[in-house]
Amino acid sequence: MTDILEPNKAPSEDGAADASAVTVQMLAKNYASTVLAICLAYTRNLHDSEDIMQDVFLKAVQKIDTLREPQRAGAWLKQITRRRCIDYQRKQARRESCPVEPVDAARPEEDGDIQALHQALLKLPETYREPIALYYLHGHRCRSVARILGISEPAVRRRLVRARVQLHSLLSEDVS
Amino acid sequence: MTHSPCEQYREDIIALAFGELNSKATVTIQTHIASCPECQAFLKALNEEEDKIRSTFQKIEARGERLVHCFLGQLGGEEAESCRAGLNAHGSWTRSVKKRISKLAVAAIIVIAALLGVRGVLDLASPAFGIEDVVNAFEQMDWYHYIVELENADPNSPSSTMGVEHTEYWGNVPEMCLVTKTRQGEICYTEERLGKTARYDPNTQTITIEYREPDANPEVYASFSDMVMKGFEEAKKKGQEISYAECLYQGEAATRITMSIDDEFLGSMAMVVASQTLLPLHAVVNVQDPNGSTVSYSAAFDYFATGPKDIYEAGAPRDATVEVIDKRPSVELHAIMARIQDVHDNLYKNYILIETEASGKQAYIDTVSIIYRNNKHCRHERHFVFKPGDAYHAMWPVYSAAMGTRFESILKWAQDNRSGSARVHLYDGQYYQRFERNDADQWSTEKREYSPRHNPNGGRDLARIGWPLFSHQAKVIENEFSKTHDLICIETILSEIKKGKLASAASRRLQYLDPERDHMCIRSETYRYNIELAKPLDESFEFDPNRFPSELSSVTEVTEFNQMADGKWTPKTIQLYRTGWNSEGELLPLRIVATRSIYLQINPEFPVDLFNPKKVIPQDEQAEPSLRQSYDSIVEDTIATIDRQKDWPEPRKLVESYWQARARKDYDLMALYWPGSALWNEKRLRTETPVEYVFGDAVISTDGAYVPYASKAYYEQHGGYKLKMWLTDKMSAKGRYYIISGN
Repeated sequence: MTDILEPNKAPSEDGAADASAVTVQMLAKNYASTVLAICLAYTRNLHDSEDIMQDVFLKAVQKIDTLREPQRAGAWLKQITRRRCIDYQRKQARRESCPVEPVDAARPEEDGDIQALHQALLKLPETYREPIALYYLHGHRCRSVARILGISEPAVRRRLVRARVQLHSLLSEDVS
Repeated sequence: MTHSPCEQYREDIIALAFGELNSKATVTIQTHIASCPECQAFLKALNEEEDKIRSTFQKIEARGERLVHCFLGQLGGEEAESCRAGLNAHGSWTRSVKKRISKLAVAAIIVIAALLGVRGVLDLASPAFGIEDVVNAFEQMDWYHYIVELENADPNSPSSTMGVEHTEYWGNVPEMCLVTKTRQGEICYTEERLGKTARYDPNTQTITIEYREPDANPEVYASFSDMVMKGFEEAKKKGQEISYAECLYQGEAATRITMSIDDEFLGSMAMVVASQTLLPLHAVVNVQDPNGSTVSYSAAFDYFATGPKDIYEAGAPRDATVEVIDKRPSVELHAIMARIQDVHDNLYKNYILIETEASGKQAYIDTVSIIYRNNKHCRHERHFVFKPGDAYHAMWPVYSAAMGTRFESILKWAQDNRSGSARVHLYDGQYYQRFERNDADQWSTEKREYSPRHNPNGGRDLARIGWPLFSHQAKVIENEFSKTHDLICIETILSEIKKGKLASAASRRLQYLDPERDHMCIRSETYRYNIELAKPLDESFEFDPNRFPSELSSVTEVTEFNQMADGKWTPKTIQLYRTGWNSEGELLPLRIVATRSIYLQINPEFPVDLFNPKKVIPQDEQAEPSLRQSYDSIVEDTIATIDRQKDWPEPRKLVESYWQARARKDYDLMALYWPGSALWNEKRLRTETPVEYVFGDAVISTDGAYVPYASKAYYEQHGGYKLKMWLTDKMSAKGRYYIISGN
């Protein structure tokens, strides 16, 4: 069994990972790009993604003691991330319906390329967003994307290709 | 719109760029590209675009890595100034955990304000209406409709989707109909007045219609609106502060009603009510989950003149298979139930009832229960006669001399008694409170709870002592005993309960009612299968319905009666018999396990302040704080010690080690493996003869863990385990298991 926390590390003798050995540091180092990719798939700008990312790891700090199965650390963190993202989406929806809600005025300008890419990403169907963000942020390997999403490699390939076709159209429109 | 003839190749070209095309397709597409200028241009543009996308993602990744670096620096206490400079622009990683916690604390208020989307709020010092007016307006409506959205729902819940749960409700208050629909397509249509519930299961495409005896006084039919409005009503009675404010809701004049609740479960509630109609428009309830995070239930209401008339109109397909389950009592049983209800309605409402219980064949009374009942006011006292460590044969003559055998002497003994511990339950029809006095004569109490539907004496009042309890599925039967003694026999089959891989055996109960004695249950027999209860069962295990439970395992019998001056009957002596196992694991015949004696005084004079919760604990004892370390704190300290241990055994090894420690009288180690067990009777443990046990593999579930075990002699004879040691890891920060109970 490969230790999913440290993919390059040899498995322990009995094949089991030690729960007490899992730290937030290890999670942050190994799953930063996964968390960020999921956040990108849900949020409207990179700043919000980063905010959620910090929320996720702060939550992980608070709840690390509840993690019993280190083999499921990735799934656990992914679940926290998705919940935070959904919370974010709901808050966004409420902001739209409540014009008196204060807006975050102090946001700095985002990098133009990042903004354009993010906007195009958001126009993709939801099922395509996560695979494509994970693909580019996770070492460009379909196998690791498939494992993170819990779907087959052929399914990831199909989604990636279709997402890339649409992304090309969206980015071309943006340029024109 | 025209498409280029090369559109069909686009996907393959992209797959090629991704390196995800198989060899055959690669050859085909490369051959095409070589001869097609349009596709060559597309591939070139794609490659350029790809470079840009990758470099943009690299920028994003670099920012992410920097965030993580700073975060880890903060965790390690090495917060780098460079990180602050680079990231403070939008506040990343600089918020302290403390701030996060305070953010969580105010989350409830933010959620309410944001969800309700109200604005222009103006606090009202004296509102023109109250919660009862809102409830009244709501109950006048024919049909209401809303969808409850539950945030941070349990991801394992069947109707949960990505942490957000949706349930749609249709309800008709006057007709007492409630329809619920989950996102997964499950539909439930309840008609409370008819006692009818129809459920549609989309997985099996089956509608199950269940009929039951309608409740004579249905109080609530669980819905979110009830939860909100009853919650407000009850909170108001509890004295919680409710605030009213004028606001606009979707452009209409409305009133926002909010309340922060001092409750472990409910955090806060808010409701927006239309100013003109007083109808609820939107409601939010925040509930604290066991992990401390807030779960929000939110619903926006609509009102209609008509609603779904049946489960088909609610969305169930008309070609679904229909199954009918009739849980209504038979006509004969219904008549018996009515007669018993009539007896109960006419039973005394002002009395003092004393019930003594002597265990086993010994004549030692070990508990004395006293029920004081003055209409709605109830006080139930349970006194434990012996103290831990008392030698029964030595102390019983002392206690029995003080107690006597008459109503007055036992009552006086209970009122003066300071020997064993005692529990007092106090209820005034609305509020319930529990008090406890320990063996060291120290009192403790629980919070006073508003509980209008509380059973005042935990089921132990005059109506519950001696009269039968059976479900609507029971049957009236005849057998030799009922015919011989002119009794009514009611048979109840309790089906098996499966829990994980364990199962409780089905049981059969026969209750014999005496029509000549107000339908009192003069004998109750319970029959069970003789199966290994502790034996883990295979998932596929099924009880054979043809194998009827036939082994008599317990009998409760009223052996003496009282007939009061007005002709009413009450029990005087009740005897309980049980089977059991000897140390060799052999089943023993029925033997007497307890004798209960009942003493009753009708329309007594109640002592002053008997029902006053402030007078339960004697004033002089209220002032003195307890110096004795409580059981809870001992357990807490022990678990902290467990967490400090370098190594800790797994459940099976832990249980084995416990019994080894017990065999060699190592009380300190026993108290560590089983926190709180140091409070046990050390004297008994010292004289205990060690038994050799064998242990099975630990079974771990979400509820905890247990280790099956048995004496070696039993195991060799039966080849299974009879006993269980239960463990949990709930309080251990390191998830270490410790023993919480024995068999």
